[in-house]
Amino acid sequence: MREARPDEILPDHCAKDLVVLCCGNMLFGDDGFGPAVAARLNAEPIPEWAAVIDAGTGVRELLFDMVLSERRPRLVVVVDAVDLGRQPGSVFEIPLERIPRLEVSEFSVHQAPTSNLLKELEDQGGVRVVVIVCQVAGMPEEMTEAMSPAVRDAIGRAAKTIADRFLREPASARSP
Amino acid sequence: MSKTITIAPVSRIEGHAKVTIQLDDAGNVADTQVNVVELRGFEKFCVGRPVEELPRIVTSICGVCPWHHHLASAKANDAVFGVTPPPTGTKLRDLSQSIAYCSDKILHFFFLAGPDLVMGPDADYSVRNILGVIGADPELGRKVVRARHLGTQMLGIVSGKSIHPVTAVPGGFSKPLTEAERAKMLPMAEEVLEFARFAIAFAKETLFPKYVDEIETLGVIETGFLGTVTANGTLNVYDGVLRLMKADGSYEEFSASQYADFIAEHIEPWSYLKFPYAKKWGPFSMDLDSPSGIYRTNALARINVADRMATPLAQAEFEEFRDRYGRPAQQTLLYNYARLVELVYNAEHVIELLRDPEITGRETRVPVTPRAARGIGCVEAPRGTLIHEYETDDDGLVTNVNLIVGTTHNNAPINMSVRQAATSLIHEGSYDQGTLNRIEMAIRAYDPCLSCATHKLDGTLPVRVDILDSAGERVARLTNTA
Repeated sequence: MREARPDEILPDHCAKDLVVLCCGNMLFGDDGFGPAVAARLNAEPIPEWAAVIDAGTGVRELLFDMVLSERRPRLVVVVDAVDLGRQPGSVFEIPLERIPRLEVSEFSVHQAPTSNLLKELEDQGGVRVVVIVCQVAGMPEEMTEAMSPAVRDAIGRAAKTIADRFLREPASARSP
Repeated sequence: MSKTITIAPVSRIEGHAKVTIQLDDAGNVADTQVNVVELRGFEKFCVGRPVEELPRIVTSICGVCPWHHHLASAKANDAVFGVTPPPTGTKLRDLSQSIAYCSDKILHFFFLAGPDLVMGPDADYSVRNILGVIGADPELGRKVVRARHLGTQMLGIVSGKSIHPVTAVPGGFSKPLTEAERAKMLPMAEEVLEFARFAIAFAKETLFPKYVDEIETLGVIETGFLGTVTANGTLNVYDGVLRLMKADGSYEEFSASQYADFIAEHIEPWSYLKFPYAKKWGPFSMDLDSPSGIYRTNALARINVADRMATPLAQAEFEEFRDRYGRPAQQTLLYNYARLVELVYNAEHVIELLRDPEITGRETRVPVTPRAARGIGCVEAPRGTLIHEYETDDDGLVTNVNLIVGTTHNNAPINMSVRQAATSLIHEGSYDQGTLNRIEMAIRAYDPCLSCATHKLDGTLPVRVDILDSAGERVARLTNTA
């Protein structure tokens, strides 16, 4: 990884060794899992070499910068909510290589293929990507901030898991 | 079970842009429909909440346009409370608006339009993307990231945060700008302007000349246009009057609070999204040969309705554009060019505001008192005129909300451009994957926000094209989904 030039202005999501990107929409019940985890993690001191970012529904903008940037994190942890038919509130890791690379053209950044950008980060950018997700109990038909008890209970567990696993030692000290 | 994992989207809002093409007995296009869905439940979600909470809540509607929703909501709050922000408060909002515009324009031009223009619409997807472009020019990538981060940093200085802003409040802006902050931002803004000048020169010299034919043919329709101008007809993205221009160039103007007198909403049974149209232009019709009531918003519309630009470099670009394409320019692909003219304007406007002594004034807001009222706030979001309308009870609690977002204005034009593209591309039942790519380009020119509140980990999926025979049976499906 190239070191930043002294005059270079870089966003945290490009400059830090470890970036935790928490995705989701707090207006759609359990979809607010990622932002809630970000809030929980950021309530404690974050190491200087890391950043925990509530990306909301704008994660593609951040990934776009990361892919284009000459300087990138060593490790990106994506936190999100999914519906894969598992036990509601269960938190688990999805191997990036098992997410299909889609032949998708981008109408707008809203629909830009996040999975493609993540794979580009790994394949071309040399960034290790870990995707941690929570199984939703259900999704509301209409907007609500109310989460299911199962997903609400998972916030603390997920935050602790992420902190223990990724925020204890610098990403630069990890083996690739 | 398939070895492929498909991660179901967790939002109920579908992210498809479903395109249906109906063929006649001869295999030519008889009809097309573009189905997109809109945000559901926002009105109900807001009812009963204190209206002053809405500027904070609406930033979660859209991951790409949080600032524009934030500012439109703050302006609607001003109207509800019956207050006018002090000049410094207004200028800080205007400053935020233009900085956010710069980042948006840079992102969309280089991420979305760039690949089509650099690699060509017939190029394979594997190379027709931003990475293919940047791979050939890493320095370009560095410039793009730096310019975008300068914008993010400036928004951070002005408001404390850029992703989910909270500083535009009823009655003004919650955080004054210090002299030290202003001094820190000015060189950043000058660098963004330098990048804007580079970007438009690069596009004009390197990209646009290769697509003269496509610009003149792909998705071209004849419509009116809607955008915001100041009292003397100057383009403005934060405040002004709405100018609604017919295809013949004649226009009328009205304030945002009068929008319901000029804009009606048509409903089609096959689409959740409404179809706004100009009320006074006759019955709604998307017929390509004789459209009625149809107008467009977004960058091309703003450039078309404006008489001039407020800043010198943008004015020069504006004159060059108008000299070449006339007024109003109807070529859909010119949206990309218009975006770059707007990038130059906003970059200059940021500098203009930072040099304004009032920008560091200490009086940034006025107090507000809850009351029963109706208020409308309007700004130009990058994707079009954005209108927030709120009603409150005596306690200032929300009783009704209505939003018209930029993409909704463009719903009918997108449908028409797709029909134009499909009609010109499909003959005697002959079509292929290239058809989808071309149709995509016509849609993409509008930079639509198809599902603001949706995010999907796996990236699925922007579009599905169904081809139906004359009996209504599906004979083919072209899709970019797994």
